[in-house]
Amino acid sequence: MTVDERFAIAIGVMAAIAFGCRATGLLIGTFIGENPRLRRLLDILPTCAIGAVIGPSLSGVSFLQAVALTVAAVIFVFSTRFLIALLAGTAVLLSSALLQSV
Amino acid sequence: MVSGADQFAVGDESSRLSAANSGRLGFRRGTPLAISSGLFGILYGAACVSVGISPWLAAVSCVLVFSGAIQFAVISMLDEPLAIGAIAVSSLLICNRLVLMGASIADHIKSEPFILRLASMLVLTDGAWAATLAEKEKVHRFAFFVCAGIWILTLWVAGTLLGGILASNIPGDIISALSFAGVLFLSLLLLLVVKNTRIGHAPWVVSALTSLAVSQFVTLWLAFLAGVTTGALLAWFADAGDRSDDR
Repeated sequence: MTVDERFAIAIGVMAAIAFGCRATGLLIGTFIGENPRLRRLLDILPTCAIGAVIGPSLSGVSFLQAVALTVAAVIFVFSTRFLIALLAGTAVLLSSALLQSV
Repeated sequence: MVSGADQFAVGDESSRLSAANSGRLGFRRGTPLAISSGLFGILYGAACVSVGISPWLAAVSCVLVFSGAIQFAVISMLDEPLAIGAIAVSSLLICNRLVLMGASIADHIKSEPFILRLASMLVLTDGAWAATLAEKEKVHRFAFFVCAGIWILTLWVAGTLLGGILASNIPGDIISALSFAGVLFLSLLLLLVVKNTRIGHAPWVVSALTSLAVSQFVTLWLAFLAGVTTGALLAWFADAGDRSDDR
C-alpha cells in the first residue's frame, strides 16, 4: 500500500471517531434534561478539558515559550484581539528559530 | 442564578438578530479563529507532504475529520503495516473533548430540528464552540455556530493546501518552533470563553494544574481524566455554594 492509500484508510477511521464523539456529545446534551446546574456544568467541562490538555505541555516549557504564552495572554486580556495576541505569541516563538539561524 | 444557554442571552426576544445577520456575525467573529486555523493548516499541509501524503488528500482529511489534534497525531502513525487499532484508540483518546463540546453546544442550538443539529456537528471544533459560547449578542445561535464553523473549516482546508504546496519552502526549525503554537491557541480560546461568559477561571486552572501534576506519575490520558474530573468537581461544588448564597 502507498502512503496515500494508508492515509485514506486512516482518514476513514479518524472521521468516524471524530463525528461519533461529536454526535455522542450532542445526544448527551439533548437528552440530559433541563437541570440548570447540570447545564451549567456542561458549559464548564470543555474549558476543564482544554485546561487538562494544556497542563502537561507546560512541564517542559522553555523560557521563550513561557514568554510567548505570557505575551499572548497579556495582549489578549488588555485588547481582546484574539488574532493579534496569537500572532504576537507566534512571533516570539519564531524569533527563537530566527536567532538560531543567525 | 441563570444557567445553560440562558446565561448568554441579552435583551428580549424581539431584539434577537435574524438567522442571516447571526450567520454574518458568526463569520465576522469567527475570522480571527479561522485565520489561526489557516496558519495551523499551513503547518499541517507541510507536515503531510513531508511524509509523502498528497496535498489534496491532506485537504480531504481536513474536511472529513476537522480535528487538528487527531490529524497531526496520526501523521506519525502511517508506517507499514497500518496500525488501524492504534489509530482508532489514539483518535478516541485525543478527541474526547469533542464529546464535551457537543454536549455543551446542544443546549444552545436546541431550537433546530435534530437532523440539522446532527449535521452541524461536522463543523464543531474548539474554535466554533468557543466563539458561540463567548458571543454576548442575542443571536440565532445555530446560524452563528454553523457559519463560524464553516469559515474556520474553509481556512483550515485552504491553509492545508497552501502548506502542502509550499512545504519545501518551510524550514524545519520554523515548524519545530511553531509546535508550541497549539498551546498558545488553546490558551487564548480559554481566555476568550472565560472573559465573555460567567464561567470563571478556577475550574480550568485547577484542571490544568492537576493534569500537570498527575502527568508526572501516570499516562497523559489518566492525567487528562484526573484534570477534567477535578475541575468538574470544583465547578459543581462552587455552583452549589453560589446557590446557597443566593438563598
